[in-house]
Amino acid sequence: MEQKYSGSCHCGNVKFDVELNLDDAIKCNCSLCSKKNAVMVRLPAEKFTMISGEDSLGTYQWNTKVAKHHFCTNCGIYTFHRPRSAPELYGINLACLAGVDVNTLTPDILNGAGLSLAGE
Amino acid sequence: MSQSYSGSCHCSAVQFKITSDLKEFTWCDCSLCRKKNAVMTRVHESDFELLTGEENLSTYVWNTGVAQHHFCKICGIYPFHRKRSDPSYFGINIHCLGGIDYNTIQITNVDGASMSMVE
Repeated sequence: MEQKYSGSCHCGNVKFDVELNLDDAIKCNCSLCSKKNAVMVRLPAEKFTMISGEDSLGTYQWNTKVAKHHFCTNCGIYTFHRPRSAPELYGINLACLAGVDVNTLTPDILNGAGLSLAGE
Repeated sequence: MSQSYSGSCHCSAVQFKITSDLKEFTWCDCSLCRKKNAVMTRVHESDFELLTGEENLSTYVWNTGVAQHHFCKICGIYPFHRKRSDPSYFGINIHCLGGIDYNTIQITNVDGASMSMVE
């Protein structure tokens, strides 16, 4: 069931609200997501509201440089990203949402490792 | 048996190596570690070597201000931190290490949430 959640990094600089269904949780096995070990849900932009901290967001881009991977430049927490396969969506770090325990979720595995690498 | 393992963030600005028998893997439920969702191992500073990227490390401190939580300024990845419980030890993000079969490891949950908070 879709529900509203408040999200934040750890230091509280970056805050956002989302509306999503935890049953849609995924993990991705690409080289970046493996290092993050994040459990995520993707949602359309209209279900995402930035509350504060846009000026605290760092952005990492690699490979095709389509995706934008954001993290808080103060505490380092990955909060959300714009996915390569669908840059109009947001990918959300579910561990940043109040009241969500990612250990209770059973995410599907997204085969990000099977996506093409630039220059190969 | 202790072995040498190479580690890096994603963009490779930060590279390090550790010597460890990789016996202990932990997941911590404190408010910071939950957001990182990292599986960690710990090594004494004498078994840790930073090879490159000191200038690319950002440091986050909170609560008691003892632990030093590092992340790469470029890619945001958490590679290692200095531990609050003993700052002569590093906690290592095992997802940053090469040569580990994650399917074979056993993870112990650490009760970081019950550590004292500075009020």
